[in-house]
Amino acid sequence: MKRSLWISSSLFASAICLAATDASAVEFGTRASEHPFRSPQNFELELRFSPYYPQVDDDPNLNGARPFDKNFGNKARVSVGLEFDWQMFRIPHLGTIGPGFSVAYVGMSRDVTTVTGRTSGDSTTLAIYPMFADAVLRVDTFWRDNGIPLVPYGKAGLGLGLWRASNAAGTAVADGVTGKGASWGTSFALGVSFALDAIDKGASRNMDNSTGINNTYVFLEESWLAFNGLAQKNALHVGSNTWVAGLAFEF
Amino acid sequence: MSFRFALSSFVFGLAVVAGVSVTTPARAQATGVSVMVTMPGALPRLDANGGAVTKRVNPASTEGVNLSDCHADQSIEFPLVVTGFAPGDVSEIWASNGSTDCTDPQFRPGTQSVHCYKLGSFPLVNTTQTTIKVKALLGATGITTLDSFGCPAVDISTITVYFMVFRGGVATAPAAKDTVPIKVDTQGPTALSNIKALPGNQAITVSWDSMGEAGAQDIIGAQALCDPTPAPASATEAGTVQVCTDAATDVDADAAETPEPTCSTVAGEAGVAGGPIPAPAAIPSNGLACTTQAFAASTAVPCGGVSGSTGNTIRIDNINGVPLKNDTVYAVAVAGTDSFENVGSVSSAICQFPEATSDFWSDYRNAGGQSGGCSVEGPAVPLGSFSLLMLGIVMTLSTLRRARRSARKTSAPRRNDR
Repeated sequence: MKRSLWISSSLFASAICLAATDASAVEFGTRASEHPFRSPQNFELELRFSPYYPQVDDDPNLNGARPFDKNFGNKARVSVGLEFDWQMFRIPHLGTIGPGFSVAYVGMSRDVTTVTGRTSGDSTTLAIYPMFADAVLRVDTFWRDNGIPLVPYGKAGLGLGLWRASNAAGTAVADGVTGKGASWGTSFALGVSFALDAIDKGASRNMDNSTGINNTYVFLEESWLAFNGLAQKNALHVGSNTWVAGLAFEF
Repeated sequence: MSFRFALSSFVFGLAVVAGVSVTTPARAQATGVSVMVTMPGALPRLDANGGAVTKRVNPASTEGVNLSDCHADQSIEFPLVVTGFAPGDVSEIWASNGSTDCTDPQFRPGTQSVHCYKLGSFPLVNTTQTTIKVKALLGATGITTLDSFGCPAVDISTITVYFMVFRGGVATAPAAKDTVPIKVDTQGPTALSNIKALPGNQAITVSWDSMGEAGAQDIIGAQALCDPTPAPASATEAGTVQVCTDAATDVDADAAETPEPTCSTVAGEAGVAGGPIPAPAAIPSNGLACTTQAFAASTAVPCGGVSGSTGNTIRIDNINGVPLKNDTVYAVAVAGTDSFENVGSVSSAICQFPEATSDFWSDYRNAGGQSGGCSVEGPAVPLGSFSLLMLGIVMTLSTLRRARRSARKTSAPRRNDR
């Protein structure tokens, strides 16, 4: 796992270095063009959906105990999120690179039993807000220059998972310790987008003309959110390695 | 017909239509009397001592009368404007339930099975107000079985109050009248069913079958009732009821005062003895039915509530501010409330005891987990941290954008428009 992350990070960095050899060719944003008609392109917004199973039980302090699995089961919950990318630089014949920010939410809740095993009216809840700021490289030259509607991309950055454990009385407290906090960590992702504009280029051009949306994609990515306590002594492991699918708009 | 006569007739007609008192012509004096209740949609409400009462918020019942209004011995004040009255005129206030027309002399008081009820009179001055007790108003329903406060059980109904001025005897039709409809409802919803009481950590969660599913009941919420020290009920817990004579038979009452019915207190039905209060070990997850003294004597205390017609659970974690204790048996029940805020029949009581529960966080900490510890309580969403992060990102983006603009200005070719 760590080896694959190291390799993907290296590839990501190499791609940027190679593409940026001619520094003077790199320009801010993507300018408009008449032929073919394209409005200026600077941003991307993603609607993101993914299964999410936090790595709480991987905490070595738990010595193999699985409190998350015991309380919430072993099925992943659905995470819903948004990502906003600023495609700050265009690297000719490669793509765009720029900062991005993502925020998501995933929550899980289950009824609990009493200490004697009776069904109770209380419930236990864990809410996680994974968020990260990253650098995003989108290789859209295949689509812009060659008409192949595939845009591979990579993301790398830092993030945190804000989390809160609750019960029927509010935020949970055990041994005088309140059940909420933030777990820092790294985020990496590799994915590919399919340009829906390829299906109907005329409609795509009209939409660009009327709304300024240059491209619309469906995407699938593999995401490694290691929110397990970067530079923190004890952190709740709320990261997850998962796949993400969604819809993206460039404008 | 002379022009002068025609003109005076026209002016007189206008005056009558406008309700203006015209004093000179004899014909105008005979027909120009009028009575009007001002602010019929916002009548002042007074408590037993004559102090102003804050009305209910629910617009469906703001001007209406409910059981607690009757128990508090409230009165309704009717501001009146009377014009055109003459010496010898007589005023009377009557009320009817339903569509009985109190301007018809045969219903005052009448011997009909359906008739009007005399509530009093009002002074014949230009501007005045008269107060009518809620209990007297409810007497117009004709219900003679009253509770220990002297209030009848009335399902939603409309009492029409008639303010009338008679000229030439009260056995005739009134020369002037105004009416005000008052909605009354002193009966709460029927008892909620399928009551369950689940244990929680220092709490009991009581649930029932959803309220008003068929839309047949006027229910806007439910109230939980608790007995913090349940004791077995005995058969002597029966309540009492009052039985009263019909207020309308008090035809000799002074016209200026509200007639009161004659009542007597009689014993209600014998109470049902309850079994012993179950020990915790005998109580299952859903609780165990029990009859306690407090519920038998209707002295159980409110301990929670829910609003809306769809909610069907209430989590009880304190009784009068005292937190529930684990492993202590309590008796709980629920009653629906209607749009008049009448509390309905109380459900059967359930005995249950709170018990410690496990949750994710306690399991995590007990297993050796070391994270957590943010000590500041806040909203459910960690808004503070989130806001700081967002602020940082916005500042970064703003800086980068400024740098971008600066670079464009430097690189853009200068235009010469001349």
